[in-house]
Amino acid sequence: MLSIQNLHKSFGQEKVLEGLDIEVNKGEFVSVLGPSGCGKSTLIHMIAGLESVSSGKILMKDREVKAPGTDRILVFQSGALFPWLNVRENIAFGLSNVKADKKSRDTAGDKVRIGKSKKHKFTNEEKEARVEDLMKKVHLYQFRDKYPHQLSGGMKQRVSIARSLAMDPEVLLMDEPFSALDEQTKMVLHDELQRIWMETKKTIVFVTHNIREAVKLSDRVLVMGSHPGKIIRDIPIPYAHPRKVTDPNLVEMEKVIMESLKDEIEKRTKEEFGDGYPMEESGVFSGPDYTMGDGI
Amino acid sequence: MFPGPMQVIETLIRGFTEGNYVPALLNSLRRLFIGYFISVMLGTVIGVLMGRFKTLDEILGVVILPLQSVPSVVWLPLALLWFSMGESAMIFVVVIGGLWNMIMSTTAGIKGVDPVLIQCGRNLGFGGGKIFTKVILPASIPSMITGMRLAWAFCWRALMAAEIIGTGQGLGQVLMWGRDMGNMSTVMAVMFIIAATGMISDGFVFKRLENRIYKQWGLL
Repeated sequence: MLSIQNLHKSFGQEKVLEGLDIEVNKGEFVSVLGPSGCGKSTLIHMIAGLESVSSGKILMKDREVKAPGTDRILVFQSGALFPWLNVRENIAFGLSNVKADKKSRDTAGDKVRIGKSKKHKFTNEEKEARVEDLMKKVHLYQFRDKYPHQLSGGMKQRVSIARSLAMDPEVLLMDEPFSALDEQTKMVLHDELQRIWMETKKTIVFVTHNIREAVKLSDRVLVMGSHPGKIIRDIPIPYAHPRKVTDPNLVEMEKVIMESLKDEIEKRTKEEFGDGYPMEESGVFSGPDYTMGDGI
Repeated sequence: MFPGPMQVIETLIRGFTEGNYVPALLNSLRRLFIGYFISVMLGTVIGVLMGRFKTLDEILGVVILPLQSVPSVVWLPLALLWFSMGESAMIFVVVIGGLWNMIMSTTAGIKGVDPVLIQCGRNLGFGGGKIFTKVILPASIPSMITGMRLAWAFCWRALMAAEIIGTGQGLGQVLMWGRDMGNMSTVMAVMFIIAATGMISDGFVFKRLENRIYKQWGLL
């Protein structure tokens, strides 16, 4: 589905990403996990076509990614809702750029004449039907006429997810979509995203620095190291969905990932604190629960 | 030479009931509206073009900054020459009064659009022209509203200065008439009307609109 081959990225002299090889299969939920500044956001922006590639290739269904396209839709960290549009209009924003298929015609019901070509431009009824459907899916139907400033952070991010799903992309890209939310909201949205993923069978590439989030949601976690950014481990999470964070198997996976990040954290700590920092005594490696779980 | 408050109030009441304050105010407002409308339209168009085309911005940007520090009434002699006295000259001064602020606010708004919104628009499949009309323009509305508010205030000041020097039947002329008659309570009464008009329009119209828009755009 999505294939990244020997991908490099530099900003001037600074190497940001070096020699990345990633394969994402259809329907897979893949997390890219790494500390801030490891280039994971740059990577997902490159997949979205919003950032240029220095060398190497990003192939989407065997076609090279050179520009943004509606087959790859990114959910931004900040939500990036348009403040002058209400929930309904935000979700419908990009619909004029995609073609409707038979499925959406069915959901629009009798209002739409049959007998058109298989893919066609959205009619207004189809737009409405799809937007309504998605608003219900993310439980925002009653807020459809509200504007972004009237919504909470979690609601905004749900609108953003619905807006991306409305485009019915081949791959849904998510750039730390929950990192600005409080812990409770985050947990609710994890469940919601998991449910949506199970219902829609979308391929998702999810960038995060939150280990627990990555372990709960993904089929595979790609652990990134920094300076320059590269994939240091590819860890499958072979447990059935839906998952609970309290599942002891997941807690075990968190430890495995924490362990694989050990060198990385040591390196960064030395860079930032100097050699004198007492690594072992600090409790950084006493397990994820000790450090409130998740951040690196 | 300094009239007491009661005397000014009396002049005000008499001016509105028996005198020529109402037609003078209406005259001034008419000039203001015409000049302001042209000013905002022209300012928006030039500002949008400058926000869109970098070269134009660089060329005009150099000129606008010094022009902005020229009080617009200074243009009146030239305007009187160009427009052969009277109404149009005064409206020209009003246009100039608000123009620079409108241009600069519009350009600043367009340049200051959150780059994430533009990325988001591209991500959702929009190209250059559509990004401009569907993302950049609406995103710069708050800044344009600020420009409109400033332009209104500057147009009003420009008009008063122009009317004091120029001819016709406006508030400025009533004020000057008061001066010529040595009637300082008329001068004060007109000053009061000028202040009240400016304050009411700013406080009840522009400030409210601006607050609402800034809040919705998440800028407050």
